[in-house]
Amino acid sequence: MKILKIISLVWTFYRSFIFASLLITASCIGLFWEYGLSIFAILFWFKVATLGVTYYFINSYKYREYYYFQNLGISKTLLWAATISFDLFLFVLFIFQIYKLT
Amino acid sequence: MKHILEADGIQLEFRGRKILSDIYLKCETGKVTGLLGRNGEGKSCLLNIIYGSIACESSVRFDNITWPSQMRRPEFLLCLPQFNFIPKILSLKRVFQDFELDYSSFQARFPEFRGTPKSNMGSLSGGELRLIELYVIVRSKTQFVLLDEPFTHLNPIQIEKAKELILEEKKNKGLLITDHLYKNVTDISDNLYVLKNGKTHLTNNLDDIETLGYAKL
Repeated sequence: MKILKIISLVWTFYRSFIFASLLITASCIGLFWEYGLSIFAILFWFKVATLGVTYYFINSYKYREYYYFQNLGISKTLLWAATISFDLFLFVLFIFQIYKLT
Repeated sequence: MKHILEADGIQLEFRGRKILSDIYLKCETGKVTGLLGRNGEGKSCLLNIIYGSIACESSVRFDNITWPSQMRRPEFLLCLPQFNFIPKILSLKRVFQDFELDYSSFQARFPEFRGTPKSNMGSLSGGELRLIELYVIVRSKTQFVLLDEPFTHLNPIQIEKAKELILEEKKNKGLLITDHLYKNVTDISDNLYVLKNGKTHLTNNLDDIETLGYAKL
């Protein structure tokens, strides 16, 4: 399958929770700006925990859409591995940028 | 070339209650295989086990070769679940692009369809949604298709057209279909199974449906 099609499908899946996820990342960045490196571990585990809640929510309320992706060759594992990795990458990237600024 | 999909050795139970225990089901390309059964007999579970979305002790074989769930790729097997599965935020154009199908062919077959390529799935009625889902799954290039209640929400004219589509596509693939509108299933099936008490029964004639307690003819 073409890589662009895979990215497009994973992006479609990510759109189902991107707003909540970015809102949480933005809140973490705000707290990191205020309190600095001392609360990084707390913020990181908070972010991981909210991703766990998101996973539970999507599995409970949007599980039907997995069939769309599976019928197009994208497994549930690939969807979650790609979106969680990207989401955590964004989180760390933004935190690192703030750390450099402060 | 003819291909065969077989499922047996399936053991499924929920909270100690056996749902599926004595299953043998065979589906061939070029044929429509019907599956009937009362509510709760495990028809949808059986389709999901074949599709690979329910894990349990089972043997699913493709051309006599055991077929692990990770091998069930869309070029071999597609599934229409009994519920709407296409994300509501997607446009019809995007859905047809994803399945590599031509929207104009769909429109030519269903001229009464009110949606346009720019319409979102979320803006369609229940019948229109089902029609799109059925069409993209049945028309896609694959070897086998599992259809779980494909006629739900369709009006009688759409059902007739959907049956024509299925019969047309059986030249290219094997279809396994289950629906409580059983006359539509029996009309188009080459082989018919009835699922009762966790066991599949291959019927020889329509009277078997009544004998097995599924329906009064």
